[in-house]
Amino acid sequence: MRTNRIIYSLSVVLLVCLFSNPVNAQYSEYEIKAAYIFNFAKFIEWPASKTNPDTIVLAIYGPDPFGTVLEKTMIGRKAQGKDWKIIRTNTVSELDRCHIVFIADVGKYETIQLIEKIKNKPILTIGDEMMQFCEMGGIVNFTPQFSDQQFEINNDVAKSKGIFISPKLLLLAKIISNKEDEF
Amino acid sequence: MGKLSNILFAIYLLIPTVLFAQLTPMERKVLKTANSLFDKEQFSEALPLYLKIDSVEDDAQVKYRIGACYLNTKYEKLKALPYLEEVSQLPSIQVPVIVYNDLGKLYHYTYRFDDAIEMFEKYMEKSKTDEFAESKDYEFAKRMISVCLNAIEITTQPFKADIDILGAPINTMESEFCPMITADEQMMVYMQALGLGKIEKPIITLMVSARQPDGNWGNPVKLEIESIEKYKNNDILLAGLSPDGQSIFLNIGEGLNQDIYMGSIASNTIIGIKKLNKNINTPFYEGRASISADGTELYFVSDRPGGFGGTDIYKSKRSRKGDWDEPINIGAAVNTIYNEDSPFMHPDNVTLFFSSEGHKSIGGNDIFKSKVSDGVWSEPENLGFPNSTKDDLYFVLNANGQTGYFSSSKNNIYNKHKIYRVSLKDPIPLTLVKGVIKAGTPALPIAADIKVYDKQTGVRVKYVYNPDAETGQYLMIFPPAKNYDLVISSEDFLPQLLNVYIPYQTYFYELYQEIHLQPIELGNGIVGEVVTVNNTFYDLYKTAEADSIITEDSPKQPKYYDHLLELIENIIETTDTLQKIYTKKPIDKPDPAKNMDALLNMIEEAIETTDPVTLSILDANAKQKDKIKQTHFYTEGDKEKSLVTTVVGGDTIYTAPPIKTNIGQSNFEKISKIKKEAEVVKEAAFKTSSPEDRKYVHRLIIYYDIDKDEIPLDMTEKLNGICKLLVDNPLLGAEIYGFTDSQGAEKYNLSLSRQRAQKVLKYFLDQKVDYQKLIVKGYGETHDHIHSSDPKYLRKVEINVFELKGLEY
Repeated sequence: MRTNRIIYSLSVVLLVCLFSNPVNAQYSEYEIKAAYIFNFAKFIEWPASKTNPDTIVLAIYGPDPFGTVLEKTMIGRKAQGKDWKIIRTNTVSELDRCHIVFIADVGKYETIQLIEKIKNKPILTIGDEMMQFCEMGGIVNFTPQFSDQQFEINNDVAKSKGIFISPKLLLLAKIISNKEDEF
Repeated sequence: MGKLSNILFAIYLLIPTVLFAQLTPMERKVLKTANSLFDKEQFSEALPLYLKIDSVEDDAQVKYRIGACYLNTKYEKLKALPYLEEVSQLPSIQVPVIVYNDLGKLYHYTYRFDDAIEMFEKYMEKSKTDEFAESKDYEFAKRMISVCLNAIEITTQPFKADIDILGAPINTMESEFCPMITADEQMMVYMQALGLGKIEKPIITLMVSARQPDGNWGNPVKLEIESIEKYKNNDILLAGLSPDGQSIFLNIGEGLNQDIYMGSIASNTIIGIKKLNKNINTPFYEGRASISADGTELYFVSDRPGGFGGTDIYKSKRSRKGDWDEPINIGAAVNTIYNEDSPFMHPDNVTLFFSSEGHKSIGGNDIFKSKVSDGVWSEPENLGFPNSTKDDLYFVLNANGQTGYFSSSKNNIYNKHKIYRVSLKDPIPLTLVKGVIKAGTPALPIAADIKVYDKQTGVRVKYVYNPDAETGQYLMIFPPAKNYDLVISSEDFLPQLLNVYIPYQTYFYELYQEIHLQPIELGNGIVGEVVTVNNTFYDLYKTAEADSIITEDSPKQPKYYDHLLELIENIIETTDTLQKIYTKKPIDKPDPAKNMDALLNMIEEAIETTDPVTLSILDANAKQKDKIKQTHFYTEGDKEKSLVTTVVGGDTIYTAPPIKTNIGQSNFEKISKIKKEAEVVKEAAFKTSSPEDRKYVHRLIIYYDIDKDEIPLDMTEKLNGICKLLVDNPLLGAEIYGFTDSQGAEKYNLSLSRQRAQKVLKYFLDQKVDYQKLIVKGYGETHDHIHSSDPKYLRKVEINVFELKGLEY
């Protein structure tokens, strides 16, 4: 175990040296999160839908921590050949046509209600370092900096909505299962 | 003009007749015309004619007159040098003594200081026996010898700064001068003289430029003057800029009869221009001005009687009424018999930069600095590096002491000024804290009061500056490696005690801080508040550089190569004050354009190849906001009861529980903190906690009809509010106690009271409140008849929301 750790940290050091750019470049927290969200769309398949076949709609629910970063990252680039559309809203009804909803700082109570209301819709929910997000029925949650994995995934919820998440993505995530859904 | 007449006079007397044997009749006529023009002091017309003669006849007097003509031009004085030099060395000719002074001046201009000293010494020696010599020229020669000695000393000192001339769009073919910057170096105003060297009276305009995200200055815009027609026939010049950029000072007047006016800049127009009072403005000349960062002192230039000679620097304090008091001359340490000009008080409030023709000038106006301590000014020090033998004026420096601006006419024959930037190579160990205080949803700026204490010494930092109520913004400068307590008071919230640790560093940091206060509303009341503090560090050096400087365990002593850095030491050692400068510039620092494609591709590749290492490194390198969110619930809903006492520097202060920021924590500490938080939340034992550990923050009572246990419909909104509070806040729990009135059998009542409580419990569970947080009990008949014996108030469920004490993460 100890040897493993040494090798691991050695490889980290080596990589830091090798990848002078862009790994070593200082990106801000939300630039990186935006880049993750962009790439999630490449490794996730939504059930075929009639609305917006050429667009991926990303909604920011509640206060937006990204500022202009999202537009800089998404607009003008395509994921799976689709353009991005970004909306910001506080109302659940506006989420109907979304593929992804990013939930930032709205509190646990509101998050639970939101998850409940879109339970049967093929919307990928992404939480922003929210404790117990995946346990509450969210699909993807960013973890705090320096966690073992950068994000956690509840694939059971994704499956129940017909959302297919690539095994590659699952391998990199901390997997949360909701087998004990009820207490 | 005096000296020139002297020369002419002398020439006539000493070289009355010269024969021009080689000249053709035509050339003789040209020479005659030239002489006649020269006699009428029409030098510029005479000059080309003499030059023509000089090309055909090698004659000492012609050379002499060419030199004299050049000396009399505005922009070509230096061209006199070879002519006068040649003539003065001819043994056959006895030149007038004043020539030695003129030559000395030209040598000095061209940095030939040893030659210059020789000439001035010659003048001093020869003028003793010269009947036309004037004592003022003797004094001049004497002064210039010491100026040249200064120059030899100062110009041979190595300097540790880069001086760059600003490129387009600031410097143009015209003359740009008198740059002034805000302390955060986000805005620059300066003057531009159009047509210098071409037209008699150059047109002077005031310009403003904003710093671009890439660090360059943006396209300058002309500053318009509100109701400019009022100042017809007057010159309008830039006199000063407050460190926050809120106030701009102007010199308005005719010729030398200038006065100081103050206005402010709004959408590229100077508005609200007002003349300063009669204490500042006299019938004499009043010029450049500099206001201290706290806005209480004004330094300005005046030639009013009672000074030391020429223009002097004066200081006025703002009276209690807010107007300027009778100024005082800042004294002989700074002011000399020569002119002093362009004062600039650095935001440290200790270091005054000014220009002077006196002191240890190396020629013309030089830039000096002097520090004040207990009202005593130190001996002015020649700044060295920016100074030339010509006029160097208008030095300003940003708050971190790292970048200065000045204008100089060096190397320009038309005396056109250019704006220069001085970059000090050595980083400065200081942290500039820029912040904003907002409250509510949506977040709006609030008026607040900030007090700062040095945690180690407990000393209250001397000056107290409040954030601008309009923008909620504040700016402070901290020396590193210290803990500070910030006490933030505002009307509607608990005073907050925020501990800020400024890590040790050898370079300049900028900390951007957002403090957001938000009330927690429940029904019509407020039961607590959430304080969110976001700290983002920007180091102003590249990460790589920073890494090479910083060693984690043994901080190196910062090296002070350059004397300008002392300025910063000053802040640390002499005052240790927190300087606060308002700033209205947007303080969120935009990141330089980044290669988002590289980032996107890297993450994609890492996922594609399921490479967790790359993602870990990326994560570890992320520039993260340091976000602290703290929720304070009021004890029994009463704000006043919620304060804790802290002793800071002998003072007992009452604040909300202190907030510790993560700044300076190692990654390990940060992770353990997160883990500990989760642990604490998990282990919070609400059900088994003793009542003393419960801090009650809110109580709701539901009343029931006889023998009913259904929750009245009108209660749902209030209950939902409580549920939200309980779900959102991990350390909140609730007691749900059921009661009945005393009608009916005791046993039945006990059961009924339980049912009432159970129904509320079920409601809470449906709202996803964690069962572990709820203490449910049926008490049967209410025995508490203190408040009312009316049975309708006895049939109830009491919901007591409490916070578990002693569970701090």
